[in-house]
Amino acid sequence: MSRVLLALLGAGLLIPACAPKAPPPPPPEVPAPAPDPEAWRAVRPAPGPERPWEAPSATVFTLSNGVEVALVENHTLPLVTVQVLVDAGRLANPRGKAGLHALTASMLDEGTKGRTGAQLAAALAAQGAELSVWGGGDGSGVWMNALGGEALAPSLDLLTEVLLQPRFDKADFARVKQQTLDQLAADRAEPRTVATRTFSRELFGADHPLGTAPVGDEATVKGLTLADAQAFYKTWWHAGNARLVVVGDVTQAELQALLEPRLGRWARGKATRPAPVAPAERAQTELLFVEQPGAVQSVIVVGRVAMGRTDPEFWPAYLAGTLVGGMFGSRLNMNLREEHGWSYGAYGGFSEDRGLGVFSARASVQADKTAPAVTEILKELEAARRPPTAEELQLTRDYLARSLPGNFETNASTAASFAASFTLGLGPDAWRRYTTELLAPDAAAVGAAATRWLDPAKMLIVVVGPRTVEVEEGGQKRTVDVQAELAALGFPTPG
Amino acid sequence: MLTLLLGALARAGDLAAELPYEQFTLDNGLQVILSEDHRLPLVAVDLWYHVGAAHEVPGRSGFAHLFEHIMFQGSRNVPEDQFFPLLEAAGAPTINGTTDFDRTNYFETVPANQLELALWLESDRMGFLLDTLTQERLDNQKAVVRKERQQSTENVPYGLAEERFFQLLFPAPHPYHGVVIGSHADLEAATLQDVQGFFRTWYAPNNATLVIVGDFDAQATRALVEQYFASLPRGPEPPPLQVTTAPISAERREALTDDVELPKVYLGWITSPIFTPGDAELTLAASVLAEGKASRLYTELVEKQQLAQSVNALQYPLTLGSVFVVEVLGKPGQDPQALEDAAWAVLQKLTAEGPTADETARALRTWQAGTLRGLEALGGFGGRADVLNYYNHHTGDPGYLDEDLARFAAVTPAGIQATLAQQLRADNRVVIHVTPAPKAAPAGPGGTP
Repeated sequence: MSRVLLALLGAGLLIPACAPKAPPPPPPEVPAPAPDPEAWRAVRPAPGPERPWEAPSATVFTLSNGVEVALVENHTLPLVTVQVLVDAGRLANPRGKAGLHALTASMLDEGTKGRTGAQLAAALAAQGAELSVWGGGDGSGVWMNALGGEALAPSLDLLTEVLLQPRFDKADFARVKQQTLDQLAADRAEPRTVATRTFSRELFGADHPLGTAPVGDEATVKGLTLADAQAFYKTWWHAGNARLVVVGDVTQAELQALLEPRLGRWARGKATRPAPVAPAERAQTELLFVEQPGAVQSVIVVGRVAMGRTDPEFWPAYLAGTLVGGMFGSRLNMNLREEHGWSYGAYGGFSEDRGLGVFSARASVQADKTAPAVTEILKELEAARRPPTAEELQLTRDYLARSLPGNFETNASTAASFAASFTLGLGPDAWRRYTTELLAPDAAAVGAAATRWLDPAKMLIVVVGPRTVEVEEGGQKRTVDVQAELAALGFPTPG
Repeated sequence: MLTLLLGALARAGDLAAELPYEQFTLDNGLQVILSEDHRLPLVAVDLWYHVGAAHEVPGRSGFAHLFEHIMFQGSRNVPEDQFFPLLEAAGAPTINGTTDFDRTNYFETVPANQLELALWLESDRMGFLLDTLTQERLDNQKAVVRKERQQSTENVPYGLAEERFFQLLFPAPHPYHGVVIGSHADLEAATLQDVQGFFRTWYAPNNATLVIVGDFDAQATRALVEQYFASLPRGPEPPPLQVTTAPISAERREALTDDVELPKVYLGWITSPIFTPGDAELTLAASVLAEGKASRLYTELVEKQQLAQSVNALQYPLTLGSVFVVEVLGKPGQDPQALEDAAWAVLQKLTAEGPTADETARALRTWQAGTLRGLEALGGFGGRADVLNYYNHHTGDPGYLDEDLARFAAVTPAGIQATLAQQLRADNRVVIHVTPAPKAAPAGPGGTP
């Protein structure tokens, strides 16, 4: 049959199914077709035997001042990635000083006692090294991609200067702070950023450390001073609160000899991260609409506060979340993208955080389909509360378990994987246990976790988009009142 | 200049030895490049079709990319919407496709024991895509691509300015006119006949190169490749691209307003095509201008004058003429003209005096280190498989890496200076000013169009 169709296409004669029936053409005088030599392709090839493979584990050693170092050797190329993890994120900021940890981190590559920011950047580039600093949701740090071999020692010298002798110049601080404020202003034009920040604020509350973006907000950043940043650095950036992940072309003996005289003299302090306090559970689903004038799409975020990565319920919930939104073939994307064509992509899942995590589902959708898309997302969450079919669960597990080697293709991705497991306290062989832990929950456990955590009656919905949008259907222009359609869904606005 | 990198490399031998490969061509013209790499139990499959947005016909902007989407919708033996789920179930950490002006690629990294699945999927859509193509599938992907255009071009700050930038550089009917994703009207106008014609013209084995990198045995894999691809019929010889890129002889300038918070200025030039003299010089010049906190535009505009929030410069290498762009994102309320003047002054100074030897050495080192990092991943965006395909597509030699390193190592400050003077002038540039639109009252009806 397919050969016939191919012949039709070849002649450019594909007849639409709805075309009026014409009398059949006289049958062409061709001999009976030979058996299709390509028929064998109908059978999908079976996988070969799985290759035995063990995920890498880290070698952990401690410098004389107590700084723990996790090393994963990779001698493929003369490259080394160093990630310094400082356990000082949003939870470390004093009340009313949201964004301080991020601003402090931003000051660290603005120069050292002996070099201006430009001189530091030039010295790093001369070694082929790239260095970046970050103050994220639940931590701060410095990331360096260096060349191995003889370039490694001078690169580590520069990293040590950055960590131990930051410049904290007054003019630099004023400029970096202003840049942060200007960035916050610029972000108002970015609907996805607006949606993410609004979602966090409504989810945790404006007063909760996790309710503000890592960068802070305009009101708090305006009040920050150089003295605040210096005090934050002194309190939190100390050897007792820092860990290193190193991946690449260096042996343990070499690395130990390189790090001890440099970071081994980093002084220890006392401060350690406080645990986050969970906000009260939402009693009912609430919807907040934020107008973004001129937007052509609406950004939708639906979610809730969830469990931390080390919670016993994490794995069954994570499987449920992946099934709903973790893959291209997951239900949300298949619904909003492939079935309806309303979105370029819809995704969701559980975050892997300490203590408190978040479940969220996200999509950017064509504005006139905003309310129907919200309804579809909630429908998929409700559907996910039924235990998955054996086939669907198997697919999800297979995807997660079999794709694991992909985490270790590059030094950077390996370092990111071990930084995550190190921060979570999962031990040096976390990635060797991963598959076993992942495969443990059965369909009933996944269904139970989904029933508890994906309840569409306990979600926060944030929509950032235009209030109204004009659509053209069959030559007729019509205005869709996005806000009114959302209101008609009947969800209260968060108080 | 090279001693540091060479020192680092001394432990691993030279770079060409780092990327060994073997190459053969099937009778139907399919080029195949195999590179064994046994670090991980993974195999990267990367198929480049030598067709991109540059090969679109007028009135069909965005077609090459729309076609890329269709390639994921199923073929004779691959059911609709099963391409991704089959690979995901197999444990593929990476599955994607990208369309650029000059080429289109499709890639998946799969567990080593699933290589045959990837070859089955790729050969089925190379040979039998049209069997199951329907109006409905086309319409669905038109809708998805139009959402992608909204998400990536219209609903992001400055997305429309970037589109306009390419329109000014390459007036219609030049195929680089606009953005790869195309216009809504052209996407909507695409027909089944267009898809069929495009497939027959460009998606033949003799217009494609299959690169496989990873944990496999080359001999066995060669047999598998022959099994899956050898019977696919050779297509007609793909027509040569007959486009002349008109040089810009008088400045083109435009002022736009957009729903953004910060002003922005674009300065652009059509420059040496990829891998031709001047291309490497301009790549390093872009680094001297805007890469890192020691770069000239950064120190002058961001740090010293504090007119700009950020700066960027890039040589975007292309076959029909590369694009050199300088972008200045201004501080709130800054006059775009002041941003342009300040950036132009920095550029003129660099052109007048040339970069220092140190600046040139740093830019080179940064490029070398980046190139080395590009050899870490097996596949995906810019991994080993893409490196082999990239060199093969543009130079005909997948092993061009060492020559590329030599090309960059030979760049001198005087060479950069001469190239800047010759190619980045005031009379052959495109300038776009973006000014934030006045704020509509947030509660008012309607909103800005």
